[in-house]
Amino acid sequence: MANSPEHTPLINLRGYYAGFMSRLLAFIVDVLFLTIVFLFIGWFVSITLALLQNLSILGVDFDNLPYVTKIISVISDPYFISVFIFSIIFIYYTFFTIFSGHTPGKALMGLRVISTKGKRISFGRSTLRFIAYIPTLLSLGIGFFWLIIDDQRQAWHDTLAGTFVVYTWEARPDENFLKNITTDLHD
Amino acid sequence: MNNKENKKIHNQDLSTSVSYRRETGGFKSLSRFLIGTIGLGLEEFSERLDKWEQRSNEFDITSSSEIINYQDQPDKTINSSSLYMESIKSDSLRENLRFALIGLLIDSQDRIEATSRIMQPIGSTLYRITRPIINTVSRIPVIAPIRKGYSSLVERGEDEFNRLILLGRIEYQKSHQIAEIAIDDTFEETVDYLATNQEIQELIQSQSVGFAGEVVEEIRERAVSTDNFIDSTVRSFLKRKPRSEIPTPQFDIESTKSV
Repeated sequence: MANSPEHTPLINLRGYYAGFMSRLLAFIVDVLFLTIVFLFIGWFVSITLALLQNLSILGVDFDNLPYVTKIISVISDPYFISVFIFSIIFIYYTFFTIFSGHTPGKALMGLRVISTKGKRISFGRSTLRFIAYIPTLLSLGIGFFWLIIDDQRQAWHDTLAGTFVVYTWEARPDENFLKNITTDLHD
Repeated sequence: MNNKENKKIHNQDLSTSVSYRRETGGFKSLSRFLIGTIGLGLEEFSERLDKWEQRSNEFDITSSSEIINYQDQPDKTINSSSLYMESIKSDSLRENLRFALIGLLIDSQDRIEATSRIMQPIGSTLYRITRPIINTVSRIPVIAPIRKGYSSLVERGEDEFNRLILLGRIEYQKSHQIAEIAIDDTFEETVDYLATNQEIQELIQSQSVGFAGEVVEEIRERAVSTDNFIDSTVRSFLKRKPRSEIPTPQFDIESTKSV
Protein backbone atom coordinates (compact mmCIF):
# COMPACT_ATOMS: atom_id res chain seq x y z
CA MET A 1 0.00 0.00 0.00
CA ALA A 2 1.54 3.26 -1.10
CA ASN A 3 -0.05 5.40 1.55
CA SER A 4 0.20 3.02 4.48
CA PRO A 5 1.45 4.37 7.83
CA GLU A 6 4.71 2.39 7.47
CA HIS A 7 5.83 4.61 4.58
CA THR A 8 7.68 7.83 5.29
CA PRO A 9 8.16 9.27 1.83
CA LEU A 10 9.57 12.64 2.99
CA ILE A 11 13.11 12.46 4.34
CA ASN A 12 14.41 16.02 4.69
CA LEU A 13 11.48 18.21 5.60
CA ARG A 14 13.15 21.59 6.01
CA GLY A 15 10.79 24.28 4.78
CA TYR A 16 7.88 21.83 4.75
CA TYR A 17 4.61 22.41 6.62
CA ALA A 18 4.96 21.42 10.27
CA GLY A 19 2.82 18.58 11.56
CA PHE A 20 0.43 18.20 14.46
CA MET A 21 2.75 16.74 17.12
CA SER A 22 5.57 19.25 16.59
CA ARG A 23 3.12 22.11 16.88
CA LEU A 24 1.40 20.60 19.90
CA LEU A 25 4.74 20.22 21.71
CA ALA A 26 5.66 23.80 20.83
CA PHE A 27 2.29 24.93 22.20
CA ILE A 28 2.87 22.98 25.45
CA VAL A 29 6.32 24.57 25.87
CA ASP A 30 4.80 28.03 25.37
CA VAL A 31 2.07 27.31 27.92
CA LEU A 32 4.69 26.15 30.45
CA PHE A 33 6.80 29.22 29.81
CA LEU A 34 3.79 31.54 30.27
CA THR A 35 2.78 29.67 33.44
CA ILE A 36 6.22 30.35 34.92
CA VAL A 37 5.93 34.02 33.95
CA PHE A 38 2.49 34.30 35.60
CA LEU A 39 3.67 32.50 38.72
CA PHE A 40 6.55 34.93 39.01
CA ILE A 41 4.28 37.95 38.53
CA GLY A 42 1.76 36.54 41.04
CA TRP A 43 4.53 35.96 43.56
CA PHE A 44 5.89 39.49 43.08
CA VAL A 45 2.45 41.09 43.49
CA SER A 46 1.60 39.03 46.60
CA ILE A 47 4.96 39.92 48.20
CA THR A 48 4.35 43.61 47.47
CA LEU A 49 0.85 43.46 48.96
CA ALA A 50 2.13 41.64 52.04
CA LEU A 51 4.79 44.32 52.52
CA LEU A 52 2.20 47.06 52.23
CA GLN A 53 0.01 45.28 54.81
CA ASN A 54 2.98 45.07 57.17
CA LEU A 55 3.52 48.78 56.75
CA SER A 56 -0.12 49.39 57.78
CA ILE A 57 0.50 47.27 60.91
CA LEU A 58 3.50 49.47 61.66
CA GLY A 59 1.24 52.49 61.64
CA VAL A 60 1.53 53.84 58.09
CA ASP A 61 -1.92 55.07 57.12
CA PHE A 62 -2.68 54.19 53.51
CA ASP A 63 -5.68 56.46 53.36
CA ASN A 64 -3.28 59.38 53.40
CA LEU A 65 -1.01 57.93 50.73
CA PRO A 66 -2.18 59.00 47.28
CA TYR A 67 -3.50 56.30 44.90
CA VAL A 68 -2.27 53.32 46.98
CA THR A 69 -5.69 52.03 48.02
CA LYS A 70 -7.00 52.66 44.53
CA ILE A 71 -4.11 50.72 42.95
CA ILE A 72 -4.64 47.81 45.34
CA SER A 73 -8.36 47.66 44.57
CA VAL A 74 -7.68 47.82 40.82
CA ILE A 75 -5.06 45.04 40.76
CA SER A 76 -7.29 42.79 42.88
CA ASP A 77 -10.19 43.22 40.44
CA PRO A 78 -10.90 39.97 38.48
CA TYR A 79 -11.70 41.98 35.35
CA PHE A 80 -8.32 43.70 35.51
CA ILE A 81 -6.56 40.36 36.13
CA SER A 82 -8.27 38.81 33.05
CA VAL A 83 -7.31 41.75 30.85
CA PHE A 84 -3.78 41.70 32.21
CA ILE A 85 -3.35 37.95 31.51
CA PHE A 86 -4.83 38.33 28.02
CA SER A 87 -2.48 41.25 27.29
CA ILE A 88 0.58 39.35 28.44
CA ILE A 89 -0.32 36.36 26.24
CA PHE A 90 -0.98 38.69 23.31
CA ILE A 91 2.34 40.50 23.76
CA TYR A 92 4.15 37.18 24.12
CA TYR A 93 2.76 35.71 20.90
CA THR A 94 2.89 38.80 18.72
CA PHE A 95 6.23 40.17 19.95
CA PHE A 96 8.11 36.90 19.39
CA THR A 97 6.34 36.07 16.14
CA ILE A 98 6.98 39.50 14.59
CA PHE A 99 10.61 39.84 15.62
CA SER A 100 11.89 36.30 15.25
CA GLY A 101 9.15 34.45 13.42
CA HIS A 102 8.57 32.03 16.28
CA THR A 103 7.63 31.87 19.95
CA PRO A 104 10.16 30.21 22.32
CA GLY A 105 8.22 26.92 22.10
CA LYS A 106 8.27 26.98 18.31
CA ALA A 107 11.96 27.91 18.33
CA LEU A 108 12.71 24.87 20.49
CA MET A 109 10.81 22.61 18.11
CA GLY A 110 12.42 24.22 15.06
CA LEU A 111 9.27 25.81 13.63
CA ARG A 112 8.53 29.21 12.13
CA VAL A 113 5.37 31.14 11.27
CA ILE A 114 5.48 32.64 7.76
CA SER A 115 3.02 34.29 5.47
CA THR A 116 1.63 32.35 2.51
CA LYS A 117 4.26 34.14 0.41
CA GLY A 118 7.03 32.82 2.63
CA LYS A 119 7.80 36.14 4.33
CA ARG A 120 8.00 37.01 8.02
CA ILE A 121 4.55 38.06 9.21
CA SER A 122 3.62 41.65 10.01
CA PHE A 123 2.12 43.03 13.22
CA GLY A 124 -1.35 43.16 11.64
CA ARG A 125 -1.19 39.56 10.44
CA SER A 126 0.21 38.46 13.77
CA THR A 127 -2.62 40.19 15.64
CA LEU A 128 -5.15 38.65 13.26
CA ARG A 129 -3.62 35.23 13.84
CA PHE A 130 -3.86 35.73 17.61
CA ILE A 131 -7.52 36.79 17.40
CA ALA A 132 -8.19 33.85 15.07
CA TYR A 133 -7.15 31.54 17.91
CA ILE A 134 -10.51 32.37 19.54
CA PRO A 135 -12.76 30.55 16.98
CA THR A 136 -10.19 27.73 16.86
CA LEU A 137 -10.47 27.32 20.62
CA LEU A 138 -14.26 27.74 20.62
CA SER A 139 -14.55 24.86 18.15
CA LEU A 140 -13.39 22.53 20.95
CA GLY A 141 -10.07 21.93 19.24
CA ILE A 142 -11.49 20.97 15.83
CA GLY A 143 -9.73 24.02 14.43
CA PHE A 144 -6.40 22.68 15.69
CA PHE A 145 -7.01 19.10 14.53
CA TRP A 146 -7.90 20.47 11.10
CA LEU A 147 -4.20 20.74 10.28
CA ILE A 148 -3.97 16.93 10.21
CA ILE A 149 -6.21 16.68 7.17
CA ASP A 150 -5.29 19.97 5.54
CA ASP A 151 -2.89 19.71 2.59
CA GLN A 152 -0.82 22.68 3.78
CA ARG A 153 -1.19 21.61 7.41
CA GLN A 154 -3.03 24.82 8.27
CA ALA A 155 -5.12 25.11 11.41
CA TRP A 156 -8.11 27.45 11.28
CA HIS A 157 -6.19 30.39 12.70
CA ASP A 158 -3.53 29.87 10.01
CA THR A 159 -6.14 29.86 7.25
CA LEU A 160 -7.85 32.95 8.65
CA ALA A 161 -4.58 34.87 9.02
CA GLY A 162 -3.00 33.52 5.83
CA THR A 163 -0.01 31.90 7.48
CA PHE A 164 1.92 28.64 7.37
CA VAL A 165 4.01 27.00 10.06
CA VAL A 166 7.09 25.31 8.59
CA TYR A 167 10.09 23.34 9.81
CA THR A 168 13.27 25.42 9.95
CA TRP A 169 15.68 22.55 10.62
CA GLU A 170 16.74 19.54 8.61
CA ALA A 171 13.66 17.71 9.87
CA ARG A 172 14.29 13.99 9.76
CA PRO A 173 11.90 11.38 11.09
CA ASP A 174 13.34 8.90 13.62
CA GLU A 175 12.99 5.64 11.68
CA ASN A 176 13.39 3.38 14.74
CA PHE A 177 10.84 5.33 16.72
CA LEU A 178 8.40 5.17 13.81
CA LYS A 179 8.93 1.40 13.49
CA ASN A 180 8.28 0.98 17.21
CA ILE A 181 5.03 2.95 17.01
CA THR A 182 3.73 0.94 14.06
CA THR A 183 4.81 -2.38 15.60
CA ASP A 184 3.12 -1.51 18.91
CA LEU A 185 -0.09 -0.52 17.15
CA HIS A 186 -0.14 -3.63 14.95
CA ASP A 187 0.46 -5.86 18.01
CA MET B 1 44.27 23.42 99.10
CA ASN B 2 42.92 19.98 98.22
CA ASN B 3 44.25 17.44 95.75
CA LYS B 4 41.87 18.40 92.94
CA GLU B 5 42.88 22.06 93.03
CA ASN B 6 46.53 21.07 93.12
CA LYS B 7 46.07 18.94 90.05
CA LYS B 8 44.23 21.75 88.23
CA ILE B 9 47.03 24.21 88.86
CA HIS B 10 49.55 21.60 87.84
CA ASN B 11 47.70 21.00 84.55
CA GLN B 12 47.56 24.73 83.89
CA ASP B 13 51.30 24.94 84.39
CA LEU B 14 51.75 22.05 81.99
CA SER B 15 49.44 23.68 79.52
CA THR B 16 51.41 26.93 79.55
CA SER B 17 54.68 25.06 79.27
CA VAL B 18 53.24 23.03 76.40
CA SER B 19 51.77 26.01 74.59
CA TYR B 20 55.13 27.73 74.88
CA ARG B 21 56.57 24.86 72.90
CA ARG B 22 54.07 25.30 70.04
CA GLU B 23 56.46 27.06 67.74
CA THR B 24 56.12 26.52 64.03
CA GLY B 25 58.74 25.00 61.84
CA GLY B 26 58.94 23.16 58.57
CA PHE B 27 59.48 19.71 60.04
CA LYS B 28 57.03 20.20 62.92
CA SER B 29 54.33 21.50 60.59
CA LEU B 30 54.86 18.53 58.33
CA SER B 31 54.61 16.17 61.34
CA ARG B 32 51.41 17.89 62.47
CA PHE B 33 49.98 17.71 58.98
CA LEU B 34 50.84 14.01 58.72
CA ILE B 35 49.38 13.24 62.17
CA GLY B 36 46.24 15.23 61.33
CA THR B 37 45.65 13.61 57.96
CA ILE B 38 46.32 10.15 59.37
CA GLY B 39 43.97 10.89 62.29
CA LEU B 40 41.25 12.22 60.00
CA GLY B 41 41.75 9.34 57.61
CA LEU B 42 41.56 6.79 60.41
CA GLU B 43 38.40 8.38 61.83
CA GLU B 44 36.75 8.34 58.42
CA PHE B 45 38.00 4.82 57.74
CA SER B 46 36.77 3.45 61.08
CA GLU B 47 33.34 5.06 60.50
CA ARG B 48 33.11 3.47 57.09
CA LEU B 49 34.43 0.18 58.43
CA ASP B 50 31.58 0.07 60.95
CA LYS B 51 29.07 0.75 58.19
CA TRP B 52 30.58 -1.97 55.97
CA GLU B 53 30.53 -4.41 58.88
CA GLN B 54 26.86 -3.63 59.52
CA ARG B 55 26.03 -4.06 55.85
CA SER B 56 27.94 -7.33 55.61
CA ASN B 57 25.99 -8.61 58.63
CA GLU B 58 22.82 -8.25 56.58
CA PHE B 59 23.93 -11.22 54.45
CA ASP B 60 22.91 -14.64 55.65
CA ILE B 61 26.35 -16.06 56.40
CA THR B 62 27.24 -18.20 59.40
CA SER B 63 29.05 -15.89 61.80
CA SER B 64 32.38 -16.69 63.39
CA SER B 65 30.69 -16.77 66.79
CA GLU B 66 28.56 -19.68 65.61
CA ILE B 67 31.70 -21.58 64.65
CA ILE B 68 33.12 -20.95 68.12
CA ASN B 69 29.85 -22.20 69.57
CA TYR B 70 30.20 -25.22 67.39
CA GLN B 71 33.38 -26.14 69.23
CA ASP B 72 31.64 -25.84 72.60
CA GLN B 73 28.25 -27.26 71.68
CA PRO B 74 28.59 -29.23 68.46
CA ASP B 75 25.02 -30.54 68.50
CA LYS B 76 23.39 -27.08 68.44
CA THR B 77 25.24 -25.50 65.57
CA ILE B 78 26.23 -28.46 63.48
CA ASN B 79 23.33 -27.87 61.05
CA SER B 80 24.17 -24.26 60.29
CA SER B 81 27.83 -25.03 59.70
CA SER B 82 27.41 -28.44 58.08
CA LEU B 83 27.73 -26.79 54.67
CA TYR B 84 31.13 -25.50 55.68
CA MET B 85 32.13 -28.93 57.00
CA GLU B 86 31.30 -30.42 53.59
CA SER B 87 33.43 -27.83 51.82
CA ILE B 88 36.35 -28.51 54.21
CA LYS B 89 36.33 -32.08 53.01
CA SER B 90 36.13 -31.19 49.34
CA ASP B 91 38.69 -28.32 49.24
CA SER B 92 42.39 -28.87 48.58
CA LEU B 93 44.97 -28.84 51.38
CA ARG B 94 46.29 -25.46 50.23
CA GLU B 95 42.84 -23.92 50.34
CA ASN B 96 42.14 -25.36 53.77
CA LEU B 97 45.50 -24.07 55.04
CA ARG B 98 44.67 -20.58 53.78
CA PHE B 99 41.29 -20.62 55.48
CA ALA B 100 42.85 -22.05 58.65
CA LEU B 101 45.26 -19.10 58.81
CA ILE B 102 42.43 -16.61 58.35
CA GLY B 103 40.46 -18.45 61.01
CA LEU B 104 43.48 -18.39 63.33
CA LEU B 105 43.88 -14.64 62.89
CA ILE B 106 40.25 -13.91 63.77
CA ASP B 107 40.15 -16.55 66.47
CA SER B 108 43.29 -15.24 68.21
CA GLN B 109 41.74 -11.76 68.37
CA ASP B 110 38.61 -13.21 69.94
CA ARG B 111 40.70 -15.21 72.38
CA ILE B 112 42.79 -12.17 73.38
CA GLU B 113 39.58 -10.27 74.05
CA ALA B 114 38.17 -13.18 76.04
CA THR B 115 41.43 -13.54 78.04
CA SER B 116 41.55 -9.84 78.85
CA ARG B 117 37.98 -10.04 80.09
CA ILE B 118 39.01 -12.88 82.41
CA MET B 119 42.27 -11.21 83.50
CA GLN B 120 40.64 -7.95 84.55
CA PRO B 121 38.81 -9.32 87.63
CA ILE B 122 41.83 -11.51 88.48
CA GLY B 123 44.08 -8.44 88.47
CA SER B 124 41.76 -6.40 90.67
CA THR B 125 41.40 -9.33 93.12
CA LEU B 126 45.18 -9.69 93.31
CA TYR B 127 45.55 -5.94 93.95
CA ARG B 128 42.93 -6.10 96.70
CA ILE B 129 44.76 -8.98 98.40
CA THR B 130 48.29 -7.57 98.09
CA ARG B 131 47.47 -3.95 98.94
CA PRO B 132 47.40 -4.41 102.77
CA ILE B 133 50.67 -6.38 102.62
CA ILE B 134 52.40 -3.69 100.52
CA ASN B 135 51.07 -0.96 102.84
CA THR B 136 52.40 -2.77 105.88
CA VAL B 137 55.80 -3.37 104.27
CA SER B 138 56.10 0.25 103.08
CA ARG B 139 55.56 1.52 106.62
CA ILE B 140 58.70 -0.26 107.94
CA PRO B 141 61.15 2.58 108.86
CA VAL B 142 64.17 0.75 107.38
CA ILE B 143 62.88 0.99 103.86
CA ALA B 144 61.61 4.59 104.21
CA PRO B 145 64.41 6.12 102.03
CA ILE B 146 63.71 3.58 99.28
CA ARG B 147 60.00 4.37 99.55
CA LYS B 148 60.68 8.10 99.28
CA GLY B 149 62.94 7.64 96.27
CA TYR B 150 60.42 5.37 94.66
CA SER B 151 57.59 7.85 95.34
CA SER B 152 59.50 10.77 93.86
CA LEU B 153 60.42 8.64 90.83
CA VAL B 154 56.80 7.69 90.35
CA GLU B 155 55.75 11.33 90.74
CA ARG B 156 58.30 12.47 88.18
CA GLY B 157 57.20 9.71 85.82
CA GLU B 158 53.56 10.66 86.29
CA ASP B 159 54.36 14.32 85.62
CA GLU B 160 56.24 13.47 82.48
CA PHE B 161 53.47 11.13 81.39
CA ASN B 162 50.79 13.78 82.03
CA ARG B 163 52.83 16.35 80.18
CA LEU B 164 53.14 14.04 77.22
CA ILE B 165 49.41 13.33 77.29
CA LEU B 166 48.61 17.03 77.32
CA LEU B 167 51.13 17.73 74.61
CA GLY B 168 49.66 14.93 72.55
CA ARG B 169 46.13 16.24 73.05
CA ILE B 170 47.04 19.77 72.05
CA GLU B 171 49.19 18.65 69.15
CA TYR B 172 46.49 16.27 67.96
CA GLN B 173 43.93 19.10 67.92
CA LYS B 174 46.41 21.32 66.13
CA SER B 175 47.19 18.56 63.61
CA HIS B 176 43.49 17.98 63.10
CA GLN B 177 42.99 21.68 62.35
CA ILE B 178 45.97 21.76 59.99
CA ALA B 179 44.67 18.74 58.10
CA GLU B 180 41.16 20.18 57.86
CA ILE B 181 42.48 23.55 56.68
CA ALA B 182 44.74 21.79 54.16
CA ILE B 183 41.84 19.71 52.81
CA ASP B 184 39.48 22.72 52.66
CA ASP B 185 42.11 24.90 50.98
CA THR B 186 43.01 22.23 48.47
CA PHE B 187 39.34 21.66 47.72
CA GLU B 188 38.66 25.37 47.33
CA GLU B 189 41.72 25.86 45.16
CA THR B 190 40.68 22.93 42.98
CA VAL B 191 37.16 24.32 42.64
CA ASP B 192 38.59 27.78 41.91
CA TYR B 193 40.90 26.30 39.32
CA LEU B 194 38.03 24.39 37.70
CA ALA B 195 35.83 27.49 37.80
CA THR B 196 38.40 29.87 36.36
CA ASN B 197 40.18 27.61 33.91
CA GLN B 198 38.98 28.58 30.46
CA GLU B 199 39.67 25.21 28.85
CA ILE B 200 37.79 23.24 31.50
CA GLN B 201 34.87 25.68 31.37
CA GLU B 202 34.68 25.35 27.61
CA LEU B 203 34.82 21.58 27.93
CA ILE B 204 31.96 21.48 30.49
CA GLN B 205 29.96 23.98 28.48
CA SER B 206 30.39 22.12 25.22
CA GLN B 207 29.49 18.84 26.96
CA SER B 208 26.27 20.24 28.48
CA VAL B 209 25.29 22.20 25.41
CA GLY B 210 26.02 19.15 23.28
CA PHE B 211 23.90 16.98 25.54
CA ALA B 212 21.00 19.47 25.57
CA GLY B 213 21.27 19.74 21.79
CA GLU B 214 21.11 15.97 21.41
CA VAL B 215 18.02 15.77 23.63
CA VAL B 216 16.24 18.52 21.69
CA GLU B 217 17.17 16.93 18.38
CA GLU B 218 15.85 13.58 19.57
CA ILE B 219 12.54 15.18 20.65
CA ARG B 220 12.26 16.97 17.30
CA GLU B 221 12.95 13.80 15.33
CA ARG B 222 10.37 11.87 17.31
CA ALA B 223 7.85 14.68 16.88
CA VAL B 224 8.43 14.68 13.11
CA SER B 225 8.02 10.88 13.06
CA THR B 226 4.73 11.22 14.94
CA ASP B 227 3.66 14.04 12.60
CA ASN B 228 4.19 11.76 9.61
CA PHE B 229 2.59 8.79 11.30
CA ILE B 230 -0.58 10.69 12.32
CA ASP B 231 -0.73 12.33 8.93
CA SER B 232 -0.37 9.15 6.89
CA THR B 233 -2.79 7.22 9.12
CA VAL B 234 -5.51 9.87 8.95
CA ARG B 235 -4.98 10.48 5.24
CA SER B 236 -5.16 6.79 4.40
CA PHE B 237 -8.29 6.48 6.55
CA LEU B 238 -9.97 9.43 4.81
CA LYS B 239 -8.65 8.21 1.44
CA ARG B 240 -6.95 11.54 0.71
CA LYS B 241 -3.92 11.77 -1.56
CA PRO B 242 -0.68 10.83 0.21
CA ARG B 243 1.56 13.52 1.62
CA SER B 244 4.33 12.63 -0.85
CA GLU B 245 2.14 13.91 -3.69
CA ILE B 246 1.76 17.35 -2.11
CA PRO B 247 4.59 19.58 -3.34
CA THR B 248 7.06 21.12 -0.93
CA PRO B 249 6.66 24.92 -0.77
CA GLN B 250 9.53 26.76 -2.42
CA PHE B 251 10.30 29.15 0.40
CA ASP B 252 13.77 30.24 1.33
CA ILE B 253 13.71 29.25 5.00
CA GLU B 254 16.64 30.22 7.14
CA SER B 255 17.92 27.15 9.01
CA THR B 256 17.92 26.99 12.83
CA LYS B 257 20.06 24.68 14.92
CA SER B 258 18.56 22.69 17.76
CA VAL B 259 20.44 24.53 20.56
